[in-house]
Amino acid sequence: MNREAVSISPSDGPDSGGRWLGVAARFTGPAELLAAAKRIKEAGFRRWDCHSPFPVHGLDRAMGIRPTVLPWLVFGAGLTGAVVALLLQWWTNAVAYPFQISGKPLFSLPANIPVIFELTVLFAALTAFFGSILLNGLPRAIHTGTTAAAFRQVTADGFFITVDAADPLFDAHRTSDFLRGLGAAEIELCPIPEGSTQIPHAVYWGLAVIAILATLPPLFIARARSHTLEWPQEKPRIRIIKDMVVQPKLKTQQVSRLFPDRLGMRPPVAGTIPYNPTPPDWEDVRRLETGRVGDQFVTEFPIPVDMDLMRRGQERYNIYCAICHGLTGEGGLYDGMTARRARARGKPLWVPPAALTGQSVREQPISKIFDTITHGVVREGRHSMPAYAVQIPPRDRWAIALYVLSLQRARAPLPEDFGTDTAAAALSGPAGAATHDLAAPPQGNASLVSQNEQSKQSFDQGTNYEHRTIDGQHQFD
Amino acid sequence: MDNINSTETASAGQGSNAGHETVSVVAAPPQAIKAWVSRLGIAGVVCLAAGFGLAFLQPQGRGYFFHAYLTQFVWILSIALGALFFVILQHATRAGWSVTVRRSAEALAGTFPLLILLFLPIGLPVLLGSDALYPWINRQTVMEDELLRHKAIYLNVPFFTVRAILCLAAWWMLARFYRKMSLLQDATGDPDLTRTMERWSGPALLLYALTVTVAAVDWLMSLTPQWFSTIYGLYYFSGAIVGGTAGLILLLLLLRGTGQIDTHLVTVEHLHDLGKLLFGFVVFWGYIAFSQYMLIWYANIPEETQYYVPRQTAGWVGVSIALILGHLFVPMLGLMSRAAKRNTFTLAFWSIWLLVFHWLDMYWMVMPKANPGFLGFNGIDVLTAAGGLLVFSATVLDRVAAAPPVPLRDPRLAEALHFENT
Repeated sequence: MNREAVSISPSDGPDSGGRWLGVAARFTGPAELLAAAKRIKEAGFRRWDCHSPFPVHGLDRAMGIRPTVLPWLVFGAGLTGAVVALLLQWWTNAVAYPFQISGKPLFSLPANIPVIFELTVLFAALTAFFGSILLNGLPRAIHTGTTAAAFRQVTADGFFITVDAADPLFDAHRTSDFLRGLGAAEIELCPIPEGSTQIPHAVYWGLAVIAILATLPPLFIARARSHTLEWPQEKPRIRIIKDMVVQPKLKTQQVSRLFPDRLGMRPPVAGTIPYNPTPPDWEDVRRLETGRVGDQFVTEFPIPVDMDLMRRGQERYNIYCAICHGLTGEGGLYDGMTARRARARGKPLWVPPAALTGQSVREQPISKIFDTITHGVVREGRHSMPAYAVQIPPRDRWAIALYVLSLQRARAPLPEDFGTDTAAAALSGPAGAATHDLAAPPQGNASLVSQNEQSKQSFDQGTNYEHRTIDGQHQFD
Repeated sequence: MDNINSTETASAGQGSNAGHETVSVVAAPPQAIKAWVSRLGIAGVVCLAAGFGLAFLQPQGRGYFFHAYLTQFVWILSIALGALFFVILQHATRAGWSVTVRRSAEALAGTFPLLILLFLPIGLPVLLGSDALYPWINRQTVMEDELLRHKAIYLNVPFFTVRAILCLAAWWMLARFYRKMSLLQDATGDPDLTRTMERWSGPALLLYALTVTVAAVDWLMSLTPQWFSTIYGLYYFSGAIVGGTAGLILLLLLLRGTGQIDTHLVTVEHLHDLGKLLFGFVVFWGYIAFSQYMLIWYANIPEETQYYVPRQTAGWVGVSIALILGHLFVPMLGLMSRAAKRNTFTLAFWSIWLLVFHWLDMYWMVMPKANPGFLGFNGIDVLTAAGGLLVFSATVLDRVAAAPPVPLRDPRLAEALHFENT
């Protein structure tokens, strides 16, 4: 450290700035710094600052620094973050892309609170961080003290006060003497560094170019994403990251350079034999899987009808169908958990499920019921009942259709059903010979219907309806 | 750290080697406090007895009384636990600023002998097999409920008793240790005592966390034995810190206001910092309470929602909303400003406010079964709460009168005296 530079040469003459950035005075400790800061404030200096290697308690008050506006900025930013988070979630969840998740309302405050909390903290923290930097006048290319040789001590054990030359009271000699009078251990005038202290224009130009270049990747991504919005889509999406969707593969009609005959499609290896020696009767398979012969609905079951199939049908029905159509197949507003829930909430959000025991369904051929289970019901371009082909294999669909027949028969019994043992006789016919008419109601279904009437009443009175599933299960047991 | 071995620390009051830092400690005679100890104590016992008597005039009053009694017990217990945490925390962090307020926290934590006594009306009925509070004590109930059968290995009377004894003993021991060591330092001025207290603060915090969790699960969560929440211990802890800090602030303001503690010993800077802790733990309580609520709300499983459903029906909706506003948002905004924390009036106001809402939080945790639908507060609620607070205050004042108001020869006393926030 060059101690010679510290002293002021008398040949400098009276000087009120121009040659100096200001003056730096070193004090021996925090207490001396505090005392000096009070005196400088009292002397009326405006553009001066204290520097210490660690925060000195009470310095703010000694320097007369007014309370900062930063807390209010942070508070406002926090509030803004909270409101932004709330609006963002309300708009995305309830307006732009309404999608029900686990039965919660589309706009539901508890689900939004974590994001509100996070954005509040984020906005407030960023404001506190950048706000304190900007309010402190940073970044700054040059600071008064930094051209003084002794000033580097400030990061170790130096306690400094700098007075800017721009202060109206500044005078190189008188201010230095004043500081020395305050007990400064060392006084150093801070020279103006050689050359320009301005930031070169090239830096600004460079930053501008970088800023423009930085917008290109997001623009490209935006273009890549947006042009697939056209419908029908003609151009493929531009894939910035080519993941497994894009991979080398050989399709049937393509040319292959691998094989001498340049065919992508390979003939079976010589000596290959068919796996299934006896080809199936495709007509039977089609009847089982579609319920049709040509364009016609079949009117008979393509599989043997027996009590096992009926039991299977009841079980599958109670699993897949009863939730909407009800255990009795009555459907409507009273039967079925979904309809009852919609009613209980006072919001029939969907079309009431059809009554399977009603006249129109009763008159359908058996394979029409099968067909409905397979493909669902499309009304006004929307699935009012989804297709169950994926969940329920064909055999089970026929079993459900059989059970639906029994529900219908229970609702609208034939005269002979009131005789004894009729049902048992009807079902004990030879396997495979059962027709629509033979699908008689199993025992107990009449009582099931009357039970349903009771439950309608009990539901209207607001009592619970939880245990009826169990009753329904036990009808055949 | 230099201060620890320095003999030139500001030794307040004892007058021997004070140097230029002599501060008068005892400003008013402690006799004034002692007079209040018996008055408050008698008033508290009368209130508790009146609450018990009132229970016999009401149908189902005895079950109600036990719930109300548990409410006030966990309330005043949490104030003592919060103060105990504060004391251990100051040693764990080697805090210098808090030396002058620590003795008051030690006084609040010195109430465990009383709390052990007050636990008897909860513990003895359990030992005698009464299910007035805890349904899992009823053998019939347990046998009919599969979940309770599986929990019987934990929820049974002998194990419950052992755990209760361990928890109460652990707190008493911790509070006693830190108070005794601190008082011993007053006499000897030995800085090594500070080292000893610091060395044990880590294990003490572990023991504290474990026992508070066990106590919250045993005494509060097992009121609804089928229900469970893994964050429950933390929930009670977060409320306890709010209650303990609020109680500490009020005690300090009382002692400052009556001249028992010189305003140079506990300055506005200390109050400001305690206000910051209070503010922080109000938000922490809200964070924990919402963390518990949100997962249960989202999953919507009956075995979990059974805790919130009674608290969201009929009159309890109002209590729940009052808690959200009064225990979180209103005091959060009220304590946010620096000025509010440095003004003794606003600080006292929010401390009282939070103690009241902390009691409401305990009420909300304990009472829904005894007071279904919440038709309003019962005289028993008011009498037990007032009685608990009065006997607690009497014991605290007794502790205060028994010792100097600040640690006289703590090696960091000078740091605390010169503490400033800016």
